[in-house]
Amino acid sequence: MKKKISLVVLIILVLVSVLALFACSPITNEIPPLYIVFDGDIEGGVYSINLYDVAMTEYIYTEEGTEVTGDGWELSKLLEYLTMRVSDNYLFITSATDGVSALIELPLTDKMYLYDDGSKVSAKGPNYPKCTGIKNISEITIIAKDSEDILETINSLPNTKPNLITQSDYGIKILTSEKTDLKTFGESKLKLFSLSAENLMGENKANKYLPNNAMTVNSFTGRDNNIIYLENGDIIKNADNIQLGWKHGKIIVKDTKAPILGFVTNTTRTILDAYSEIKISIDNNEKVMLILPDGFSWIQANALENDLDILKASLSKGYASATHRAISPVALASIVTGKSPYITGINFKEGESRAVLKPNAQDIFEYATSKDKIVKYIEGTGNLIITSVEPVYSLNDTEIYNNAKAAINEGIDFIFVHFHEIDDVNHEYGPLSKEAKIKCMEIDSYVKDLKMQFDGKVIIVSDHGHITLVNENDKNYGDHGYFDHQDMYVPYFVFNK
Amino acid sequence: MKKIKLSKPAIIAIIIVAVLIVGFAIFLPLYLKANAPQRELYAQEKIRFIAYGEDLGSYNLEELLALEGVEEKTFKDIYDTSASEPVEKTYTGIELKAVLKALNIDMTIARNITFKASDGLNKLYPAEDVLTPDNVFIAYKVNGIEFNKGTVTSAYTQEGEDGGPYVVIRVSDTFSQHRCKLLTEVNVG
Repeated sequence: MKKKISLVVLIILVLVSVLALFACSPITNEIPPLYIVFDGDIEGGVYSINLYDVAMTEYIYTEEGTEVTGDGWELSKLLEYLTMRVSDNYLFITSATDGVSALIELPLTDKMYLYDDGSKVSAKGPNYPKCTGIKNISEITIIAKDSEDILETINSLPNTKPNLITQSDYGIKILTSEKTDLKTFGESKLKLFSLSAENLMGENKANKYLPNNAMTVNSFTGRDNNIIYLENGDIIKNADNIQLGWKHGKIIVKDTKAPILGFVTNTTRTILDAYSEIKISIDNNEKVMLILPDGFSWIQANALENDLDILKASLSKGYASATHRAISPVALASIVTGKSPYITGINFKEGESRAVLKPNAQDIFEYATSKDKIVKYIEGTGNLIITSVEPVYSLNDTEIYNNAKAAINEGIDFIFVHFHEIDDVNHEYGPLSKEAKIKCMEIDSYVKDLKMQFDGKVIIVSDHGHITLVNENDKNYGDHGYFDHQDMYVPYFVFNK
Repeated sequence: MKKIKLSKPAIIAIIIVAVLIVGFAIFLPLYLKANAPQRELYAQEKIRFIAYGEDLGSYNLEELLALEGVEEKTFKDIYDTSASEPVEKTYTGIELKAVLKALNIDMTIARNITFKASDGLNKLYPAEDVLTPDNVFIAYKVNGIEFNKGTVTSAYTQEGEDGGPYVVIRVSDTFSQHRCKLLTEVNVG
């Protein structure tokens, strides 16, 4: 009997739980939501509105002599939900079906409506040219008429570092070794379309655009030798002919749909290439030494051309691009594995605590050891990542230099030397300071001596560059990790035996 | 024996419960196994001391505090990383210099000290920094709270910090990036 009661109680409990679960998802007769997406040059990048959360209004227009009445949502009312980056904008309405789009000036001089077109959203502008009657709208993009206005907005923001575009959420950055350009999201989307026709209806003008399905990276950036940096940390080299697309307010790689963070141009080389450069030497039974002067920038190699013997720009093979984020543990993991941060798994967002991690790929030390090579990895006062070989630690760069010399004298096959003090001085005074110059000259003398003594290939590559910034006391200092030309371009040297 | 007749919903309910129990029984051990390395990182309660290649043994906090001349101290330090605004905090710990003295380690010939953490991090300090009074501490509390033993990447925003139970702090550091969290070994060389 007791058993029976227990069983009944258990069943009741379970039933109550199951019923409670069902109760959490009540069946309602509400109208299904109808979303419209706004993107482009608006705060937050993408904004989605359930049209049924907004009051409808009646619109009347004449079609082929007949007066038509309908219910819809006034576009200008919906725009009040958005915060535009700048005041002077276009509206760009795109069809989900064929990509046909209409560009209209803002503010709207007459009423335009969106309406429920059988669970799809369509546009109706009784006093606008016919091309604005886009059916099955995928999104409405806000496009700043002058992207320079956005740059001014960025630079006037409180806490924005002067002359530095820190906010990659404003658009796509295109870097050359001399400058950083920003193509706003609105401008970026418009690049994926071609003007097809201009129409006028009274005072109201609208341009019809057709999708340019063959937009490649080099057409987009207007430069050659492009490298794509994806938001997920991956890097795509030799990307000139890769086709671009648009999704959720972002420029994407058309094939993979991967969102793009930005482009580094005019180079085919990244710091990851050091891995294969070392591997070639190991495979050829050639001794090899990699010297990594942390934080040594391409701008420094150029500025100090007459002060340096080895680390000057003219002796390099040109520049290489760093990883994003251009910070030491991320870049180091990529240099020692030849893989992007997406693969190594070592990447940190701004503000994230930097744990010491092991890359998700075989490192060059492990490869060298597997080929029976003797390896020495000479580090500073700590390790930034976990490598297959335990580093030899050193208290300062002079000790690093001495440890490297000792390794050369021991006849080590592969020596990895990581100097740190250029980075320290760059942080404190800025990369173009006289203090940085003195430190670069000191490290240059160490490198020169090591190169002279070493009987093998010498590769010199930095992990990231530095940007000169000014603090609240008007004192220069340096920083990196902003996807800016100053921190992304670093010199890359290879001296064969 | 009387046969119990169950209704269809009752049978369904019993099946659901049974599936949940079986699922729980299968996935709980897998979950615990997958998280074991992470939990081990923070579970290390003892610190090993090595001097000039000789293993001097491992000590927990109680044993360290029982050593002659070793006492709990509080000290202030600025917590400042590239990702955070500087903030002064009060730490509780023991001075490393006192521990090394109590363990009879000859510091007159020491060049540097390597700190090892359970996550694989290594940090090297010059011996003179450790010998400077009130400079290098093995800390175990921040603002009176034990260091968080979990991984909290945004720990700098909180009153507390992660990386416990033990964190090596050099008070003379301008920034906090030379600290050694998750301390497991002190190696004098």
